[in-house]
Amino acid sequence: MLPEAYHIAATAETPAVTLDASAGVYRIEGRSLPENAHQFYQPFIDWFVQLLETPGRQLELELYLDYYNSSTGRYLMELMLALEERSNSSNVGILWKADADDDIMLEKGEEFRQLLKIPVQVKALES
Amino acid sequence: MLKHTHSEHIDVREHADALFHFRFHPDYFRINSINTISRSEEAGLREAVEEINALDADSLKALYKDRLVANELSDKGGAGLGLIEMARKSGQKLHYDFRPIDGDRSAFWQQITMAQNGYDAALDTLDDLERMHAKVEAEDVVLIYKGDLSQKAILPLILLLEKNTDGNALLSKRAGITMIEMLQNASKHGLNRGVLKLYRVDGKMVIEVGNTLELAQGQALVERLEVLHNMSEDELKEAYRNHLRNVRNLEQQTNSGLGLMEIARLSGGAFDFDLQPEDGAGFFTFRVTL
Repeated sequence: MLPEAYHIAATAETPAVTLDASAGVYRIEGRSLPENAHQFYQPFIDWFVQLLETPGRQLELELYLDYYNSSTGRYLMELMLALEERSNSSNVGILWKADADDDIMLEKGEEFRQLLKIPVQVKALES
Repeated sequence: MLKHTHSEHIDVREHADALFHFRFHPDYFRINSINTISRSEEAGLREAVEEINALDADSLKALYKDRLVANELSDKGGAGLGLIEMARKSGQKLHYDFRPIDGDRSAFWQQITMAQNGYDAALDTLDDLERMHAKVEAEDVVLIYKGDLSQKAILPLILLLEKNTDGNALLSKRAGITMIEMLQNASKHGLNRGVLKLYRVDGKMVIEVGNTLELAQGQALVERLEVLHNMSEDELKEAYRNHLRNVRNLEQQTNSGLGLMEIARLSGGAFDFDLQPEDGAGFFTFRVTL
C-alpha cells in the first residue's frame, strides 16, 4: 500500500518533495545529487502510477530544481514518461521552474519539453 | 581559525595567501593555516600566542574562564578564546610565524601537530606547510583533497567549491554539476579513494580527479570518453537526447555514460583523461576545464 501523500524535507543531497493528491500539490524542489537516484525516485514513480489509475485525474507536476546529477536526470525522465503513458492529451502536465538567469536549468527544462508529448511549461522566475 | 583576517570576508582571490590544510598521517594529525592580517595586528597577536604557549593545562583553563567571564569580546572574535581553545583541545603549543606580504599586511602562519606518541621535535617544523604553500601559489590551487571519495565525503567538497567561484553563480553551478559527476564517476568505478584538485589557469577553473580502479574498468572508461571527445557539440546533444529517450534501457550501474556526456557537454569538450597501469590496476586521471 502506497502512502496517501509525501511531505519530505530537503537534505544536502535530496530535494524537498510534496506529493499530496487531496491538496492537489505535486512538487519537487531543491538540489538532487544522490548516488543512487533510483532508490529515492522509484517510490514517487510508483505513487503516480497508482494515482493515475483514477481516470481523468488532473495534475500538474511542479519541478523547481537548483541542480541535479545525471542519475537524478535519468529518474526524472522515467517519472515524466510514466506520467505521459498514463495521461490523455490534457490531464497531466509539467511545470518546470528555473531562475531567469539559470541558463543550465532552463535548458534542461527545454530539453524535456522537446522530448515529451505531455505539455511541459518552462517558466523563468525573475528574482 | 580564520578569525584573524585582514577583512571580514575571506575572498580567496583577494587574499591569495589564505590557505587551510590538514593531514591525517598514521603517526600524527596536523592542522595548519595561513591567513592575511593587518601588520598593525601582528604585535598583539604574537603576544597573545606567546602568552598561551607559556601556560600549562590548568592555567589555560583558568585563563579561558577568565576571558569568558570578563566577556572582553572584541569585534574580531572572542578575545583570543579561539587560540586558547586550540591550545586546550590539542594540548600542543601553536607553531606560528609572521611573514610580511607588503607594507600593510602580513601572513600569519599557524600549525598544530598532534603526534601519536607525544611531542616529536622532528615533526615540529613548518616544512609541510612550506611545500603546500609553494604548490598552491605556483599552480593557483583552490582546493586539493586526497582521501575518501564516497558520497558523504563528496558533499562537503561541493560546498567548498561553491564558496570559491568568486560569486559567479552560473560557473558555480556548472562546476558543481561537473564535479559531482566526476566524483561520482570515480566513486562508481574506483576503490573509493582518490585525489581531487581544483585550480585556475588563465581565469578558467580546472577540475582534476584521479583514482585507482581495475584496469579493465579504466580501459572501458577511456573508450567511452574517446568516443565523446570526438563528437561535435550537436552530436553530443543528440546522443544525450537519445539516452534520455531510451532511459529505461540504460544500465542501472553506469547509466550508460549519461554522466560522462553531461561532463562533455558542460565543458564544451574541454576535457582530457589518462590511464596509467599501476600494480595490476590502473590510475585514472580525468581533467575538465570550465
